[in-house]
Amino acid sequence: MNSLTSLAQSEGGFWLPPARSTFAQMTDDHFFFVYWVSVFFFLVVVLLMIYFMFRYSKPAGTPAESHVDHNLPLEVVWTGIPSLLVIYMFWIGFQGYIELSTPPTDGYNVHVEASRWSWAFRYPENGAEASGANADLNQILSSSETLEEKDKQIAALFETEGLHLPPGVPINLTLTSADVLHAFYTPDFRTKLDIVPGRVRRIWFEPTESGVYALYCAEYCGTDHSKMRSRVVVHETREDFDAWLEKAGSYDTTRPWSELGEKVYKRKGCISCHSIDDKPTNKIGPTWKNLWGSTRKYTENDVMGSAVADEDYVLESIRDPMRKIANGYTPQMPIKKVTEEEILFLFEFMKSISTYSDSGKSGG
Amino acid sequence: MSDGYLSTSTEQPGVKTVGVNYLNVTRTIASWLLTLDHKRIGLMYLVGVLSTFFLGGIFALLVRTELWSPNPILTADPDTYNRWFTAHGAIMVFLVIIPGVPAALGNFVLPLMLGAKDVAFPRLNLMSFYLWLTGALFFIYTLFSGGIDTGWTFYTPYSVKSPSSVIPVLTGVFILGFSSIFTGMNFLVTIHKLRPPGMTWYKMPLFLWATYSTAVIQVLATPVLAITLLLLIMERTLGVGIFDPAHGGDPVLFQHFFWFYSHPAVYIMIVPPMGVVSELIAVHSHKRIFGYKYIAFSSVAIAIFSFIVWGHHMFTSGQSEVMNAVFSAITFSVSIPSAIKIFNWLATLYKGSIRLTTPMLYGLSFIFLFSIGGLTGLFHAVLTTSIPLHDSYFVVAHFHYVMLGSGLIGFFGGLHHWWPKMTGKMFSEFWGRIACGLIFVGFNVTFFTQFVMGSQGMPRRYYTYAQKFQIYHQISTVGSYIMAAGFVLMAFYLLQSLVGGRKAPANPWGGNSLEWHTPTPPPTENFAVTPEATDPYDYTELEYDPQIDGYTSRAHA
Repeated sequence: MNSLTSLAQSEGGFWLPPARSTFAQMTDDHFFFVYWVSVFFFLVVVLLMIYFMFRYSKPAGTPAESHVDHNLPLEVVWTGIPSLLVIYMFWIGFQGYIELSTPPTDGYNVHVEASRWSWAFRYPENGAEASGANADLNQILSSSETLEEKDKQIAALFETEGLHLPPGVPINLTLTSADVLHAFYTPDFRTKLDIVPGRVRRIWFEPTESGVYALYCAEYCGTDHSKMRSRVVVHETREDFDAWLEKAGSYDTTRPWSELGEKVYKRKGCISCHSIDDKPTNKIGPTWKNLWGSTRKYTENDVMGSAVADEDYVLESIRDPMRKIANGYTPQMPIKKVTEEEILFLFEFMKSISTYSDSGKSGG
Repeated sequence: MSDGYLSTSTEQPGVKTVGVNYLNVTRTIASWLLTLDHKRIGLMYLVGVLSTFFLGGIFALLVRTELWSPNPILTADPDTYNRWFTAHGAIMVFLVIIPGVPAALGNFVLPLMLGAKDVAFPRLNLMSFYLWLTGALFFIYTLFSGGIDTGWTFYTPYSVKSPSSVIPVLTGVFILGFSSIFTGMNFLVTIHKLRPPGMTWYKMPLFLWATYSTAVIQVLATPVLAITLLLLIMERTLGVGIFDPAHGGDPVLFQHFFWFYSHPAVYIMIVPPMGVVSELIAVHSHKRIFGYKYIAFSSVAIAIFSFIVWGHHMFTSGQSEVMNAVFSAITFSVSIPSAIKIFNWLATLYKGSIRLTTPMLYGLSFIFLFSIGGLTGLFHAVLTTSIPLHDSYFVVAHFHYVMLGSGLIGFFGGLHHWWPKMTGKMFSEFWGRIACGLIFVGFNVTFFTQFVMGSQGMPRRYYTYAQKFQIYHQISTVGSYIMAAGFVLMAFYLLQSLVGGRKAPANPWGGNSLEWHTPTPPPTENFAVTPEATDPYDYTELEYDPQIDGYTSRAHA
């Protein structure tokens, strides 16, 4: 397909966004091949139609000039040529597809976890974890700031969060979903893969340029499907990336736990469904504001019950979210991988945003 | 010998049957609701389909208006938006397009084209209408019980978990499926058994070939949907693990089952309108259809291929690479019969005597829009380009070009073509052409823009979106308003024609299939004497009569 390379626009154009992965170029070549074939046939059909439409437009009652009703050579030609073209189209698509479904063995591995409605990115190298930060991103995007200001805030947000990748190496992603179907979609890399709960999916690509790229969920997943967006950050150098990775791999334990808890709240995606203010929101779970120490009414196996929101209650709600369903909410919470340390941080964070009496302070 | 039955025409003075037709033979409401007359059932279907089209259109406008801006316009609640697009899709697919041409137009036209008194099983026919109505009531109930937010595809496991009214809609679709199966069976038997003397398979109007091919799909594919939906209902109510991994099921299995029906269903939506267009192009060009057998067999080929391409909806879903490759290859095979139809229609225009009537404008619009709809299908069949375009607005645009731009445009073409026969009245040609123009322009503004936005990376089913897509969304929304204006105008002049329209001649366009050889509107029994088959595409024996602005048989004049 090298002969067609010139057709593709690596900087993006009317039809396609910039091509930023090694096989994006190939995909674009195929796109434009099909495109020009389509334009050609469309013009042939429509121009002939318009010409006939006017040329043979006659007053009522005029008999047709001809009643010829078949022509075998013509049928053979207009069946044969399109057939050959589509066989060729299949062939290039098939060959390209083999290439992009054969992951290299030396790629850099990252695990992507999708859940409603957040992303989490985990790095096997040192256990580092970053979130998709889509709640913060959505807040910035829907604010009334200027575009420049928004860009600045987004850039700051994704200095720490987002899917960070090293440059110049193939990336192997494994992807899992905690609840329903999602899809990993990065238009600039021309990649898309459905993430199926109960399966581990794999995808690979190799970014060709450093930068910040859009990441979308492309498989409808309910309420905030459209807000399940994040960014992919491809670093300038491997050193940059390694520095980021080291920082992301640790909680800065010199900071107060309530502050670290807020980080957990954002990274693990709690933020997607639980607000931390008492304003009415359309979030799907109860607010955490003043939750700690309050008496919670719930339904467990169709039996009503109540409990004080303390360590035991919150721990159970995280580990076994479908067990006690707070009144007024539906059982939708996914089970997240949260370490014990992180849960301790969360306790402190929840306490810090609640006013509560001592009786609720400990489960004893 | 061939035109004896014309003598019951209302244009013939001194015949007792003058003025009595299927519309006015009885006038009670019960005589309509309990009718076994295929023409009345067809009209009731038509009223139903057009009403639900209006409803689905309202939801389309709500969706397009909300998308004017990435910030809230009509609602700040994404769930509300999700319910709108689901309602739009489900109503349009299951209530409007699938029954549109076969059940509404087909019911009216098919027995007339066969010179038959009715379909083979008139009671079954009435029952299939009431099944449609019951399904529609389930949909309406759902709208009032909070709506459903799964998308019309009901993908698991979301549809298992969704807190919205999933079960009533699934029940509705289940019932609608039987309506569709009964219509299909009825048409299969009718075409096999009730053809008039002399009508061999190759003398059937192409609309009948298309309806026949569709009926095969309806009967064979729809039960798969029915059982799939039943399994989904069982999973939701009883927690049986079939599709939800939380219960030990497999969500990809649902997609296989769903598309095993729903891909053939695309051809249930498009093949009958193709049949309509074959009639429109030939009749309004007053020229024998070109490549009759190629068009006929391309319908059959599409019906057969339609069963083995479902996997192309699942290229990114997690089915194996080998299956993706096989489905990609087979998918291209569908493009060939579609291309053959287009070329043969073009050749029919060549050296014809074309009248740019309203139905003809719809026929030509179909060729234009279906060319785009078909060619953009190629992008989805090539595995490499399919991946980024999948689930983007590119595919949204593609299937709207096929389902609305071709399927419904064909339906409206047929509606105008047979409107005089159905109602006995002519609509305003002037307003008809203007409405067609508005719809054509509005449609392209709406959906061509969506190709660009999709290939640029805009995912579908999004309540909010990145700023850079706003301009495309706004153009698209403006287009949808233009289109809506066209449809509203159409509603006005069609309704106006019922009260103030000029009386329609028996054969206003110069068609030669049998439905044009009976009075307008037809009597209840369709034909006074069982007619013999005509050559449906031989127009040489017809003569234009300017006094009635219609055509009469030369033998008669």
